[in-house]
Amino acid sequence: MDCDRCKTNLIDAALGTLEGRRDAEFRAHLASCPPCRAALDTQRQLLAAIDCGIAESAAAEPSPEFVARVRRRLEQEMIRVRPWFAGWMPAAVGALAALALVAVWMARRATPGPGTHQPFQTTVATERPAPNTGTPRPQRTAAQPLVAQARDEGAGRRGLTTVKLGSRRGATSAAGPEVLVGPEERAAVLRFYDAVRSGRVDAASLLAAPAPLGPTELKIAPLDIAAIDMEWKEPLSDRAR
Amino acid sequence: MRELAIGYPGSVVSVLSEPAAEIAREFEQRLADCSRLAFRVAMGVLRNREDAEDVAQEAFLRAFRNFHRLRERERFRAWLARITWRLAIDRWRSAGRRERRELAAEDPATSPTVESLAASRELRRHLDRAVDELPEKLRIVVILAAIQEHSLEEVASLMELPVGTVKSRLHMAKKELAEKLQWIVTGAKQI
Repeated sequence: MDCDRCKTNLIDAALGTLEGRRDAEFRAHLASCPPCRAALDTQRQLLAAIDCGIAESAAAEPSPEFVARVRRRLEQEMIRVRPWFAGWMPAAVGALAALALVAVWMARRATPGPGTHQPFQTTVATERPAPNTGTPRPQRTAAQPLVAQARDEGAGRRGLTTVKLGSRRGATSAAGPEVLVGPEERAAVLRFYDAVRSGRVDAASLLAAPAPLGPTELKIAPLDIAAIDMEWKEPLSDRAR
Repeated sequence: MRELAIGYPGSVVSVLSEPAAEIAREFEQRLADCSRLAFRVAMGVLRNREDAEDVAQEAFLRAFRNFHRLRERERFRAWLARITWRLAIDRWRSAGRRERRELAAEDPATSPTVESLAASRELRRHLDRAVDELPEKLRIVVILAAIQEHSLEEVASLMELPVGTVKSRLHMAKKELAEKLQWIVTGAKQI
């Protein structure tokens, strides 16, 4: 190994990473070359200075107030820190908002509103005494006339009409039976409902079990046949004879 | 939820709900253990005490905000070191260009000897500059290895790398530094 080649290995040799044949040749050259030995010493000093310089900058200590200052910042951060369930809050708020929207939408569907609903009201004008059917009938005063309402459902129900029965005027959203009918049947249903409520039609008889529609037994009265008087007559041929 | 009365005087830990107080209590312990590491990582990059403390503080805040996401708490040191490193590098990149230009303009025309440089601030300046010019993956190894004289295993643990990788990167870094500062030895400054 000559000096030029030795110089290329100086840093590796100073770092102690020369191995095998290269290391042996390098050591052999150093033994016979004082300038290269000096160069290796210089490289070692340089590396020591590098290590020392890096370690010096890495050995710096934080100021005594550093931890306290970080702690104060953390305290401020903790004040703003949200509780453990805060991570779920956006999802919960979203879910509640969605529920509220659904509820509003359903309420709007259930209650008639301007433009979307076509109120159809019939008021019972006359009262007739109900036939004595044995079942108690709800009392109704003149101040609370019976109102049946109808409103058109949207296209989703193909033009069907919801007829809300049993509502009182001024309390149209009260719970009552709703009947889905076609538009042409709406008036008939309302008239029928008013008739039932006013007693013009006996609901009990409508609900009574209908008579069986099977074939009735045929009863045939026996024929009244008078006795036949029979008189013996001589054959004509004998008389003629 | 139950309130806790723990922590140092005036600590808001005492008014936090139990899960949050548990996290805060654990984090305070980590703060006490790792404050020096965070500061030194930042200092190794920035070499300015105020900047390093600023960055280390920011690193702790970020770590605190995301502490609940750290599943393996024993990896906190490595995690904090990486956060600090990233923040310090960002700060160094954004604020250090002007200073580096000034430093380059002040390079001495004559080459001092190794002996005279070893104990001088000049060597530190040139060395700092050479470290700054290292590729990041070599630079962090050099700095972490110098901090508290970490062993290769400790550096490997902090960086979550194999020991062999750390060893070879450390060698490459030192060789590159020695080559960059070779002008001090030879007298011919390398640009």
